[in-house]
Amino acid sequence: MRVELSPGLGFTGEQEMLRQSVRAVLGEQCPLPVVRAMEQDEDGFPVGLWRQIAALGWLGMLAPEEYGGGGRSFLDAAIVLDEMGRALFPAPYMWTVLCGEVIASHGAREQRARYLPMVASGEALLTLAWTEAAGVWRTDGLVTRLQGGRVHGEKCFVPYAGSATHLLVAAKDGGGRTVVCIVRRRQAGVTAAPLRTAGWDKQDVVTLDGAAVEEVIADGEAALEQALVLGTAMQCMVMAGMAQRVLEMTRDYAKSRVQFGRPIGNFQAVQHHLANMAVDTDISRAMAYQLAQRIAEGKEYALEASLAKAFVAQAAARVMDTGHQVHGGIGLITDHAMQMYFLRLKPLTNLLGDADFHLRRVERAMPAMAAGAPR
Amino acid sequence: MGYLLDYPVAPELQAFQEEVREFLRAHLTREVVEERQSGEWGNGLGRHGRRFLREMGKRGWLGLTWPAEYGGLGKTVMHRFILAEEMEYADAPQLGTGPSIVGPCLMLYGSDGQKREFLPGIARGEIAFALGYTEPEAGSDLASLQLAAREDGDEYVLRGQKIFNTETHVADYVWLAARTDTQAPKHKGISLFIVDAHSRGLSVQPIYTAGDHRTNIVFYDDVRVPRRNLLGEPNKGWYYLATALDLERFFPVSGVIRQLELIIWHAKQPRPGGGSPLIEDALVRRRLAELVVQAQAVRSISYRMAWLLGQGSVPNIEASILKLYLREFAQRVGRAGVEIMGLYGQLRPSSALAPLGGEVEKYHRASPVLTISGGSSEIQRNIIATRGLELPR
Ligand SMILES: Cc1cc2nc3c(=O)[nH]c(=O)nc-3n(C[C@H](O)[C@H](O)[C@H](O)COP(=O)(O)OP(=O)(O)OC[C@H]3O[C@@H](n4cnc5c(N)ncnc54)[C@H](O)[C@@H]3O)c2cc1C
Repeated sequence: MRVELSPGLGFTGEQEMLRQSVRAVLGEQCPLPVVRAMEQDEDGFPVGLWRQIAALGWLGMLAPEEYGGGGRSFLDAAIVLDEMGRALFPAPYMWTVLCGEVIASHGAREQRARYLPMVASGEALLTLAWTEAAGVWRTDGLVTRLQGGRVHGEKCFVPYAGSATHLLVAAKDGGGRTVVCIVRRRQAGVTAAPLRTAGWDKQDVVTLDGAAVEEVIADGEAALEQALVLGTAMQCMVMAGMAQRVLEMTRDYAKSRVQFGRPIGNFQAVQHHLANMAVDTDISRAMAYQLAQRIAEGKEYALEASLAKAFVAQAAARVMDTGHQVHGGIGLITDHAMQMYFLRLKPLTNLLGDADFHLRRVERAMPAMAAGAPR
Repeated sequence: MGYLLDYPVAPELQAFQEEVREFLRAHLTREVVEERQSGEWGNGLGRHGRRFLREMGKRGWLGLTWPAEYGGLGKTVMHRFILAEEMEYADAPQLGTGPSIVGPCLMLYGSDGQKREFLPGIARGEIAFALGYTEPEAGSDLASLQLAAREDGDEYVLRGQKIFNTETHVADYVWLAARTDTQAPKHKGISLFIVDAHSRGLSVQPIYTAGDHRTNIVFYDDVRVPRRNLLGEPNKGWYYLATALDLERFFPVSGVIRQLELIIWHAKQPRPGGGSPLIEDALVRRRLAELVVQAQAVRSISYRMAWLLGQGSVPNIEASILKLYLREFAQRVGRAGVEIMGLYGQLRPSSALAPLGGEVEKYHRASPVLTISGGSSEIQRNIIATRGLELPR
């Protein structure tokens, strides 16, 4: 019985081994009770496990070898993210790797040399401080200012700001240009106030009150655009992993839960629910992995990232809703895995633009589509 | 009160509607609402909720449609409809299991002794019941319940386990379905009992569900119930339960309509960071407009339901259509609300930045239950297809 369908890529033996090893490590060290315990934990992630995944090379896998990284394909990172979604691994893995990639692509040589080794070793925990009170993923209304090597402003919905070591802060400089400031988190001018979110993930309001800036990435526009599209692709992988697990879990439950003298999976209404979940999951995985492959091949992928998120965010939400429906009352118990997946989808669908935001990006790309009449 | 709730009210009922609103303004205090929203006290059986229900009892509203001999006011179904809608709109404690299930059942099938012992107390809001139906292995298929009631002299001895019996920890009595005949076909071996919630051998273990609602696992470990607390004849419980259910088909729609009003109101407010109101976005407006259309749809079938009940008919299929459409609509409203609010839509009520105090976030978080409890959407569709359209089972 095949619940896990092929996304249509031939994974190498090495990639299959990577998947198995991530699944094994997280399965052993981060079962759902640990995930649940992290809700009330100040850091919000198992610190010991963070060190372990650094040692396993997952944190530095994308960074160039000269900076202590593994220089591996994005597809490898995609596999890790897929498995992390599956396990609901509660940690700023995605954010740290994402910010590392932004520095790798847009930082100056000294900046790469300064931060990337720390990312790979697990010492640095990076996060993105972009949105402000308006809650939008744009650079035109940014209020945060860089002035004389110091940054002033207030950032909202900053993931894991409580435990981060560095923030990548979107700001405007004196000339009104968009820049990304790299700011050490632990200093007098930076405070983080946790928000209480539905998903129990860590998001904070960060106040920058003349915080000292360590480094400035000058081409902020390009850096943030990359953060947006690459982060979106990473989220699609995480969501695809979550959907896969919920599909499997719900299928298993439907086979074991007996009502009216037979497993509820015998009822066609339930079968159709599961079939719909399979369709949504399968398409999400195919889209997410093909996007990952495109990134790995170094192709342009901004539009594909938005297309994927506009689909996957909605599809994964449908999978969660339907999973709940099939589980009945038991799935609503707050300790139940179903409820945990349902809630933890929210930060993924919301941060870096929701489905609607990405749909609007697709809309903006339309003038270039079908520019001539179809053949 | 917003436009969306202005359902047609006959002139002779307008005074009653105004009286209910007046009552709610006076008695639905902050304490009552907060206690209910805490999720710890079921639908309103905490200290404040009970005081509120007793106030309702003083006006005769807990037995609004009951005959005077049972402590009721003998009013029409339309009165009951108005009361239910107004209370739901205000997020008041619900009337609960006593007035809506136990009362009607006792009036039909109870002994004179039971009527005397319980009906006046229910009507006055002094006796509260928890609903004791669901078991770990008996949810949608309630008739397969196993909790055993064994006859022993003048008593029954209860042994077994219930789950999701929400108000057992705060109620005075449990309205319990149990198996009295293990040999008979499953529908023919069930009996209904009134069980003192403080009986020896009855123990309660809390479980918390989506939206922070407390419910319970309840263990019955040789709980003794006097025979006089059996409803009607033994083994006819399923029949009693089903007929009583038909009489009390109120699914107030004003709660979700209030949510929609809140969302629309929110969309008209200035946004944090100085952005223009959400409603100025054509896509947001379109999405809300679609929900307003659906709100009108749901109101019309709810109103039709009240009318049919008022005619004395037993609107089975209409009830299934209403339950199904209403609850799925409510989920759509919750989802649209949190999605329109974007990043802010993830904030829990305990977050100072949460729009509308986090009410819509919580509504959405709790909303999966709506299509599961009280007969799931799948079960409603089965009923509509087989009983309504007479398709083969
Ligand atoms: C918060 C909460 C409060 C509750 N309060 C109470 C209470 O106070 N008292 C009480 O007695 N109960 C209460 N319940 C229980 C509630 O009534 C049950 O959850 C409900 O009856 C569904 O049963 P189940 O959870 O066992 O789901 P199941 O019956 O196991 O259903 C699982 C899935 O299978 C589907 N399914 C089942 N049979 C069929 C079929 N024949 N055809 C197609 N699909 C089918 C269902 O639709 C659902 O999607 C509460 C539940 C919750 C979550």
